[in-house]
Parts: sequence; C-alpha cells; structure tokens
Amino acid sequence: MHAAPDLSPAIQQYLLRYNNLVRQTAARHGLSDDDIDEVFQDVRIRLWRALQRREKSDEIPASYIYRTAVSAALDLIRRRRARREQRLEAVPNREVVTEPRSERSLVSSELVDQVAAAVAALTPSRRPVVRMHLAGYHRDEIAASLGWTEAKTRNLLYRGLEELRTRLTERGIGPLEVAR
Amino acid sequence: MNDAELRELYAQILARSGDVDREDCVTPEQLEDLVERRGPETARLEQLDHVMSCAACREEFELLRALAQGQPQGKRRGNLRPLAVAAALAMLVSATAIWQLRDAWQSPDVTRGPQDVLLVAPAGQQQPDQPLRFVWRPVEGAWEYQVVLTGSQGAVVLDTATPDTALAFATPLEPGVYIWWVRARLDDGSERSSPTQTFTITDR
Repeated sequence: MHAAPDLSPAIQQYLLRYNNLVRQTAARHGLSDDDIDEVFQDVRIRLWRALQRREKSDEIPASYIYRTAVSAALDLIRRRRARREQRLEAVPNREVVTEPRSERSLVSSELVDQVAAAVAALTPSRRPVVRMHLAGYHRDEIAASLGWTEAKTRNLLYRGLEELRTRLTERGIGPLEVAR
Repeated sequence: MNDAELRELYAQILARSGDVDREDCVTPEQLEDLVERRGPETARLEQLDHVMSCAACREEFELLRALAQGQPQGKRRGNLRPLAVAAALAMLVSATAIWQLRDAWQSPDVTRGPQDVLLVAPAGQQQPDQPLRFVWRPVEGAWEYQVVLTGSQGAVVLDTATPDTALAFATPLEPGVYIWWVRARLDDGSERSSPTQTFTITDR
C-alpha cells in the first residue's frame, strides 16, 4: 500500500461546487447546512482513503464521488436513527404533559386533525402527489421524483386536490373554517 | 380553502409527526431507492406517501435528494476524467443490467435485491471474552467492503475497509448493544449495503 496523495485541485474544486449546489437545492426545502457539511467532511475522508488504492486522484470519476456522498449520507442517517432509538428506549414511559389550550388553538388542532384524516383518505395513487404539493414541492419536482411526465403529474395533482376539497367539504370544512 | 391555507395546515401535520417511534418508517436503503427511482412504482408511491407524512423521513429524503440533484453537470467530465463518456456509458449498461436482474427478483413486498450484502455473524448474544469475527456473504463484483460498528449511542467503534468477507476484531467491547453493517463497493462504481444487524455483549 502506498501513501495516499492529496485530493487533486480538480477534485477539490468539484467538491466545492458540488457542496454549494447541494446547499442551494437543500435550502429550498429547509434542510440544515450542518447535515450537508457532515456528509462532505465524510466524503473527503473516504476519497482520501480510496486514493490509497489508486495511482492518481484524477482517476476518480464523478459517479464515484456521488456514490461516496450517498454512502456517507446513509451512514449519517443510520447513526442518527440508532441514537434516537436508544434515547427512546432510555425513557420508556415518557409522561405526556398537556398544558391547557386556548379555544382558538383547540379549534386549530381539530382542523389539523380533519385535514390529516382527509388527506389520509385520498385515493392511494393521488395521495403522495398531494402530500408533496402540500409540503411545498413544485410540480416539476414531483414529476422528477416519480419519473412521470408533467402532464400526468398535473392531472393527478388536480384530481387529488379536487378530491381533498370534496372530502373536506363532506367534513363540514369550507373556506370560512380557516378565517383568521 | 385555498392552497396556501392547506399548506399551512399541512406544515402543522408534519410538525406533529416529529417525535414518533420510527419502527414503521422506510429504511435508509428504501430512501435511496426512492431518490434514484429504483424498484416497482407501487412500492415507491407507498414509500413516498409515508415520507411526505413523516418529518424525520422527509428530512432524510431531502438530504439524499439534494445530493442527487446537486451533482455538478457541465465541466465535471473534463475535470475528472478524459474518458468519462465511455466510462459513463459502460456504467449505464452494467447498471441497467444489474437493476433488470434486481427487478426480476423482487416481489411487491421485497425492496432489497440479490446484490445486497448479507450479514452472517455476529448476531444475538456474544460473550465479552470471545474475540469478535465479523462475517458476511460475498457480493459479485465487489472490490472492497466497508465495515462499520457503532455503539448503541451511535458512537463509531469501528469503520474500516477490507477486500475480504470476514474481519477479526480483537479489541474487547464493553457490555451493551452494538449495531453493525457492511457496504460493498463494486467495480462499476456502485455500492450495495447490508441492513443493520444488532448484537449484545453480555455481562460476565
């Protein structure tokens, strides 16, 4: 095994661009920069290790860097889940402290329950599309996530939202219910 | 009720989903498949439905999605490898063949393919004075396996790579629960991962 060379300027520059683009994409849906930084730090370490088995850093293709980043992200997710599981096991009988709620917040909470139930009752093929739309995803992003055409996505979304409004109306929820 | 009002209410639905048991959540491997649009559409729709109703899964999905979406285009080929076009085509062909094979094995309820790493040992209860030997099944085309062992608090105890399908670990571990997994790095640049496996080092 030979000593690992430093990451080449081309890879350094590529990682910098990649990091910036990931941050821009993630920021649109409120993802924290900390997670992205943690993943990219791990990517650098993994690439450096990989170079111990290669002659020149320029031999690392972009696809390999992507797979390395995904691998680092998956490990981060697994570590977090393991920590969370441990935390929950440590406090098995958590006491739920409920504070008295105002009438307004009670009404709002009931409304949230009703909308959640109405969304859950949607036709399965429309439901994830409606959920993505309500979570703030653009139609193009929904289409790309599912590998659908824009027309198919628009059609399912339109029908899904119609169905949602019908179900909400059946539950007695119309425009006046959310007056502020 | 207009879209903005519905979205505001939906944000509250998502916020409420934060502190729940994650037993029913989609696995990290399923999230990866979802982002890369692998597997049957019915299964992906089901998984996406869960992800979009679970704040924790959505955050993880967003991290993976941002990594996929944020890949620099344009100059990357020239910067990194002169023969990138040929390499990309070769990888596309082999990746397609792998995924066709993988799909052929999948039933609607099974989302893992035959190329995944299968862990053999350790599992269950382990004596503290016995040296640990990590063993897993070989994956075709793998040139290296990354082995990760974490404590129950998530602290990394071991993170190493080996070309073999077994690894001896002589460092004595404190009694407690440990989690480990293996990731195979394949010749075509792709990677396959095992599910996580838990074992317990017992008290004497």
